Amino acid sequence: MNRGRPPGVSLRWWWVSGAIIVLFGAIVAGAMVGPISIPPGDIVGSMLARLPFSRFESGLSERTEAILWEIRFPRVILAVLVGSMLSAAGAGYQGAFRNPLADPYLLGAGAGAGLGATIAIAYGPATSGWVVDPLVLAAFLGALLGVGMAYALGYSVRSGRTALTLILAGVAVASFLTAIQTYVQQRESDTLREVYGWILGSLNTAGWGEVRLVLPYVAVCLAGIFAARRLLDILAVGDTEAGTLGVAPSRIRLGIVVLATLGTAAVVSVSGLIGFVGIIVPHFVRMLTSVSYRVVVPLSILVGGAFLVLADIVARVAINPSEIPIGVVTAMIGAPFFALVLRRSKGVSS
Amino acid sequence: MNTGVEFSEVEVTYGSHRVLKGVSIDIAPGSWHGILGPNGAGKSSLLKTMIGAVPYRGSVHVGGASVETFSRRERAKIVAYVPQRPIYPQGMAVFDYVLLGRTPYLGTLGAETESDLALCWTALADLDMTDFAERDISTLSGGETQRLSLARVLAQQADIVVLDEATASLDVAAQHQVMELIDTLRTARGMTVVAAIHDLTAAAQFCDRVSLLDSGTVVGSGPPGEVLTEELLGDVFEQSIRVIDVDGSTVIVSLRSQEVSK
Repeated sequence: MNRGRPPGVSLRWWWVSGAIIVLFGAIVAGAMVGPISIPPGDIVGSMLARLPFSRFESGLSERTEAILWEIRFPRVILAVLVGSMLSAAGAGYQGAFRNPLADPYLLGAGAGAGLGATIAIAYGPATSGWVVDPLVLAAFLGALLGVGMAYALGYSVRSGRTALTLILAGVAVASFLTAIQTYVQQRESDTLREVYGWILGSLNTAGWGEVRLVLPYVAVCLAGIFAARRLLDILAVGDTEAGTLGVAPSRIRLGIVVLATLGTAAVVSVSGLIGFVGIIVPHFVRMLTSVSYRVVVPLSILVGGAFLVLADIVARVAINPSEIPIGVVTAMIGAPFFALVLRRSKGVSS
Repeated sequence: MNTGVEFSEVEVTYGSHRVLKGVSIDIAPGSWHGILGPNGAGKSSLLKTMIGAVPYRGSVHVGGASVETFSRRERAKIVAYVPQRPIYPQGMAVFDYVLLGRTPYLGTLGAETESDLALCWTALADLDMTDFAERDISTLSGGETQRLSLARVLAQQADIVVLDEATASLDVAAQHQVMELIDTLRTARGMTVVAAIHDLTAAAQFCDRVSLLDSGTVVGSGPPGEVLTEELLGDVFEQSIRVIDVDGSTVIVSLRSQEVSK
């Protein structure tokens, strides 16, 4: 009687291999682009030479090698981590709240991080001997504070509480935190440019230090969301029915929100507010493959990394020799995409 | 396996509003028990006590044990539930929806085995839906989605099926087909069906026993022929109601009220 595997929830090997090829291509392309262009063959050669037990010799000069490994790759790898994390977090939120437009930024993570960063820039020490950059720490704590407040507010609503209540609470908290942030910004107007630059997002200060800082968070949060992908599919039928299938919807939702928020807070703290990634990438994956989170989560992780590397290339080369903030690039792609998703999701209210 | 249900002095309160005021009903294993009554009589609330969806006082026993003693997963292996308007996620394939029925049998982070898939194919075949396996469920008709829900219930392998007005949105023919199908599956698998039903005629024709609720209390319980009388129904629904025998089948209709008293 067995007619084979389930149609929509199976991750096809050619989707995965396609996404891996695109990610690898994006990484190489990201490493190529810059004032000194490095041929792709040499980049791959240099990568192979660094593999353990490799007998491959890098054909690059010492200086080019340094540019590649100390400047280009940290930035590209950070872009991969940030893109993967924001995409997986977006997919997780969309599943947890059964809302195609949900995103960690919507729950106050972005506004909280913005406030934290603004305070750090305005009042923090100019230079510090801290292990962690105070700006990064303040943004991280701000993001957690934002979501924490949204959650507390959402759960203080006793009657008629739905998944939408939490999103509305997030919007209220975000407006509040943004108001405080604007106030601080106006009071300390000499920091305006720096705050503004941070909020629009950038990867141009990236080094291996930033990568090391966010990697543990990203690894744990991605692994957690990936492990919960089947549970997200169950939530799609609504809380009551999901409950009768033997799972605890509120517990799943809390777990996903914690993982997605923690990961988002970590990456936002080093990259600034790069918007729309969590909406663009999961929806792009859905359009091409399946609506099942068993497919959407893993592919969003791969495609999200590639997407942000490519967006960063645009940010670097569009008005060469200066850079445009990567948040502007993602917003220019994201806003029309958001409108498209909004139109498509019309009439599937639930 | 046959499993019965026993409600004893069940009370449900929403805020200050008492929706169920001490309801006691015994449901025999393998029977089809209809829960009837006007809107707001407490039918859905009674069914929801079985799936842990509303807090209640009193006791609800399933197969001799209180439902509160089961974990969610254990309960899901015994009681399957179809709401009045199930959410059918857009873009989900029919087969994948049926596969959700296997959830209680998987570890929290586990995946389905070949035998889980095989059970789902069997469930689809039983409902004559094998050819629909890859279809997007949002493209199905009303009757087809009800069959889909039943396929999911079969995949869940629960002894008790709780249907909350599952056929209310169907046309006459589709409703009749789905009811026949439920009856066939119930007989074949020995399932106990507990169903809130609006259509009194359908209840009279398909249920072994019915319980009539009015404002949170049971006003009649027993075989349809004994409970569904013109007098009792007239009182409960505050309507002129006629119970007619048509070629051995019971038909229950309400009359348009004229200036006549009943």
